[in-house]
Amino acid sequence: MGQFSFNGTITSAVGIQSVMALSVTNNASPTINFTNAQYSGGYAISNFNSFDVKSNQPWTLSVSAATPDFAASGTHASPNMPASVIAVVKSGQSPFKPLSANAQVLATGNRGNTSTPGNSFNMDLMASPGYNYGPGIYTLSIVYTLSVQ
Amino acid sequence: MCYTGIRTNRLLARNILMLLFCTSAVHAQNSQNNITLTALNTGFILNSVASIETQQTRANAFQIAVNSRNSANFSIRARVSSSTSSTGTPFPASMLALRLNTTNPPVTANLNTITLSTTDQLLQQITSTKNNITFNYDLLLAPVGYSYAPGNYNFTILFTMTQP
Repeated sequence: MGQFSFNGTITSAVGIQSVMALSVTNNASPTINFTNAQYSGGYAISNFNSFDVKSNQPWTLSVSAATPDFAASGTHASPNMPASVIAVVKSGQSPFKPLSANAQVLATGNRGNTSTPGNSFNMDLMASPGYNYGPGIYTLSIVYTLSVQ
Repeated sequence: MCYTGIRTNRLLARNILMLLFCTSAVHAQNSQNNITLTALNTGFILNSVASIETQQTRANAFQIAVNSRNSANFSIRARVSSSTSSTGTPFPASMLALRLNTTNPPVTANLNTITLSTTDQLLQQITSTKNNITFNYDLLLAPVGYSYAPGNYNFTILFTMTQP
């Protein structure tokens, strides 16, 4: 008696959609109090934020200010301190990029998880108000946007 | 074994009769044994961090219904016969695995998770009950991770039922 066999098939379809995830960690207090020297020279904070990117597509991380100007409070506060008082840069790079309401590229990277080179990095922050704005409390929201290249 | 050689006129008639016998036996086996595959839930949509970082399971993804009227054991094997992708980078066969969930009626069977490859992997070796047996299988997809671009990936799994 000979061996016999029968065949049959099934198919499995796997649909992968775009998956991107961004984790932001504050490494320093977001509240900055200036001394005299820092008004003119600026207040730099290295590694102000840390970023961890996961993406199955090459990615771009952009940064912008939520509003063109700071929200100001206080009797002597100036209502028009621009977002450009804050400048940021990916740690290890230069120059600092003054913020505006328009998105600017902070970093780019390749497909991969956080262990992929370039997908985990820090950002330095510089605040340089100078003497043009009155004493007060100024608040600005920074927006980070992760998108596909 | 079938003997089909023709050496003399004397053997010719006997060989023809044996050939006919063997052929009819294969046909009899064909008519008494079959395998039917039914895909129930074999698709995966990966659209979140969790879905691409963890193993995905489709419980009772498909059924293998076998019918063996013969008393001999039979085996079921599986392999990935095709893997294609809209991105040009197909998944390796080892991304898929199969795990028996249940059988109907209950039989002693291999419950181990079988990782597929492009060569036949033994799923089951069963003593025939001469009745229909339905194997309900889970389909497992290994974590895809972030190395594969968005797109459509298709596997074809070939199942073979064999009886010695």
